[in-house]
Amino acid sequence: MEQAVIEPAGEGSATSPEVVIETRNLTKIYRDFWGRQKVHALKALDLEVRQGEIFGLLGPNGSGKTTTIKLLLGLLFPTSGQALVFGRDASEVNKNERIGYLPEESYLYRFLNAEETLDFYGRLFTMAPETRRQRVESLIELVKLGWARKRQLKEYSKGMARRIGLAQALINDPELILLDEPTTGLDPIGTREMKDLILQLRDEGKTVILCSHLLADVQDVCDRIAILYQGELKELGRVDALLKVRDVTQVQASGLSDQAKQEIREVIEKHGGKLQMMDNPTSTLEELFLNIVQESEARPGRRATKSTDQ
Amino acid sequence: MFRRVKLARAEEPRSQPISENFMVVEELPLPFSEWLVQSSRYGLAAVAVFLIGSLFFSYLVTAFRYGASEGFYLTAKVMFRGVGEFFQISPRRIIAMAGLAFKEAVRRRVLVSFAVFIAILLFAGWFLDTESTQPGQLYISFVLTSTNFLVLALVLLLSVFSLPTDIKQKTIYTVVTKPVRAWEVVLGRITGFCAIGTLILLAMGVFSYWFVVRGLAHNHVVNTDDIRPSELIEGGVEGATLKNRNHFHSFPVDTNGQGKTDMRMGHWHEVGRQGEGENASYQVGRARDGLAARIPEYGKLRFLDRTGALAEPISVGYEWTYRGYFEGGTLAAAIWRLEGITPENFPDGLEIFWSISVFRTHKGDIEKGVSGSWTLAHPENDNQSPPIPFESKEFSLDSLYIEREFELATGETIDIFKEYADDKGRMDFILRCDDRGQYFGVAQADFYQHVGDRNFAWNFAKGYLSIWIQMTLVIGMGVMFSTFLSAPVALLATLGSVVMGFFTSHVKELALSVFNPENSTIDGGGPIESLIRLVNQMNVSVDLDLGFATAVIQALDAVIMAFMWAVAVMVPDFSRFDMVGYVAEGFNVPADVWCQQLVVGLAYSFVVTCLGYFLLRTREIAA
Repeated sequence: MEQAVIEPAGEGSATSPEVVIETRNLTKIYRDFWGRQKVHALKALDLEVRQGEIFGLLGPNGSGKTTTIKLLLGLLFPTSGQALVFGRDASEVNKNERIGYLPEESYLYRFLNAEETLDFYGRLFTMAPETRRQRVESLIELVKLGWARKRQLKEYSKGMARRIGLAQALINDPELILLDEPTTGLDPIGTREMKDLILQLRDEGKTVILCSHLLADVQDVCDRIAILYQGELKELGRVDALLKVRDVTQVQASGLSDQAKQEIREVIEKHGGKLQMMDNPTSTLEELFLNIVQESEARPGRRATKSTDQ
Repeated sequence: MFRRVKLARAEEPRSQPISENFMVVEELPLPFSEWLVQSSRYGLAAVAVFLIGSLFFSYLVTAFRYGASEGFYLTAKVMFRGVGEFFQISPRRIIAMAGLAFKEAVRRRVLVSFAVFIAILLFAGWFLDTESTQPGQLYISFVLTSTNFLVLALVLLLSVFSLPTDIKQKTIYTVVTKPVRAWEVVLGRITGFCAIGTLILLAMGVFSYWFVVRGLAHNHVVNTDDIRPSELIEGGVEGATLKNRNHFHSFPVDTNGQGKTDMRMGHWHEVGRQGEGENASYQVGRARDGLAARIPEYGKLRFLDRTGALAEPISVGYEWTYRGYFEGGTLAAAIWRLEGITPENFPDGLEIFWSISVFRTHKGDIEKGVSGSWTLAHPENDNQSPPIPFESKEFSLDSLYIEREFELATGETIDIFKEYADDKGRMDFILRCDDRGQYFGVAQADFYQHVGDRNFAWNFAKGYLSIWIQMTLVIGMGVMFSTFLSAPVALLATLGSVVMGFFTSHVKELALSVFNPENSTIDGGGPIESLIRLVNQMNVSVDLDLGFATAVIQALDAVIMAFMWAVAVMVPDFSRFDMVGYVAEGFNVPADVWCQQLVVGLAYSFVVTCLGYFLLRTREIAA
């Protein structure tokens, strides 16, 4: 196994100077009724997230990701330390005007339909009724639930509930979006769309905080990540820098003959390098799936024929 | 000088007892403005004590957790933030939250309760006493009481389960991460549940009104064979109706063919003749006055002793010392002074109502009531009317109609307002007991002048208003408890508070009997002592053996009862909101009463909302 050489994380790598989120020595200890310590969920976390970046919080279950998000939202109070959002204490309510939050499961009122749900959440913000109606319409279109807009959420599949959950998080056109496990329950198409949307939000200048244990998702979209383990920050930095393997060179070429490949091998040996792999790259299952779906949509009725090695 | 005059008792139906049970108003309501001044002083003091107490308690908790200085900082921060956020409350968000609570309630099928109510009314006919002499009272108290308990039970369940379910299912995460203040969460819940409760109450009210009116509507048929010439009215006839709804009426008809039946079961009918001679038939109109909202005007009561001097009344040894007694056959009397007795207010005459308790020192003629008399008297000179005799009807309301002008035995016609009322419109009504050795017992509210009538439907609505106030209180308490307790515990806490609220005065008396047994009429001690007495089968009037164990038991009882007393002082006195008595007995609910109740209800709702805010704001939603 190659050991990845990790670039030291630096605050200078942030994309924008304005600090949106800052935690200082943020600590959370869960206690029982008698005040005895149960779990030390977060240990002295120091973080800064700047405007316009997609920041990933990574870690196994129970590592403190969700606790961090909840502390940032004021759903939990820190045992010690500070969580600041837009420079204000996380327990202040006014900051929520600029925040969108998608919880790890779509905790929505199951007796409302999609329209009512978005209308209800829209009313909680300072927003003109006309704007609210327009945003409800555009978000229903965005998450592609126009066909189920009048159905109660209790009839929704997990993926549909996730989509409407995302829509409610965006109802106020937030500057900061906190997404807790955003791709859970989504099919590959939904996952891809979610990732595309996250990138689009970043392009619009919004800040996104993503919390996931699905590493592929994080890798695909995040600019920077923090890795938490047992409540402690283990790593922090830019994804490309963190993942870059410095002493390995990757070349991809198409249309090469066997002879050309042989010559490349010889060149590598001549320069004292060691050829680790020369093979046809495999596509990801996600790509394969998406291609099949795309082709099926283009030619309905025909069995999709993708050239695969039998 | 007594002047003998012919003062006739009023004609039928007015001289009939109109109610089997009279209403006891132990304390006449204070005028609203006076009450407001008095209670706002008490209320402000209570708020100050409550505020200081809560701040101190909060400081203790936070100081214990975070240290003395940090605790102070946190308490101050929460308090100032609470005030700041109060001024940021947005009606739009409250309406949105209320709409959500409303939809949630509908989804939880609260409308089923209305169906249950309808079912209760449909089957009520099986259980309501058809032979009751006061069917109006029975019907009204039945619908009001059943609505009251049904609605309170419904909103209790709604209010305590909502917020804990929201927190348990984490749906609240998506709400409190929006710019929603805890004020709005609490107020939205209260408003939403009040809205659905109001709708249900309105529906129940309309249905109940229809049930009462329809249930009491009836008619009678007259058998023309029973019609005979009247002994009282010259040229007139008299007769009786056939029996319907367990009663019949007798009636006179004058020469014009018009008449009124007597008063039975709290109502009377108009009777009209159609046709003449052999072909005459008699039509009985709809029941009248069965559903009334009388406005009484109470006077100030004073007593005279047997020598005719002002004195305190006699106690006849009843534990309930509400009424004062005076001796019969002497100069002893009870005198009410009424104001506003002017010809402008009562152009035709006066209609007085009274109820008297009789204490007999000897059996006398047990078949007959004790004799008494009324005398009208001028407050400033010696003018007195001849006594108007009556026979006491215990525990029922009696009435008398005194015509404005009447003829003296001398043939002279006099005007009661000129003779017995002073310039300020004051008149004294003197009650005497005429049987030697017997006593009459009266209280201030036992005598009143019938000033007029209000619309019954409006009075009925006021009965529902009192239920509405109770409903908002239960919702407020339910939501407040549910901000920091789990649903079942919040249910118990709210239920406990409501039950305590119905018995506050009793609990306070009980507590004081434990703190100060010498000055109390209640024996038996606190809960532990009572349990020991139960187990040992000890009489309550026997003291426990003196000793260490007794001292410990009594100290523990004092602690328990101090807690009970504190709770009883804090919870709203639900028995104050009971207006069923007024409505069912046919009395107008005075504006002073319902305004006071409304203010008390609003004040309590405000306090529980504040409590709810701080409890919700200081809890970790996601913990």
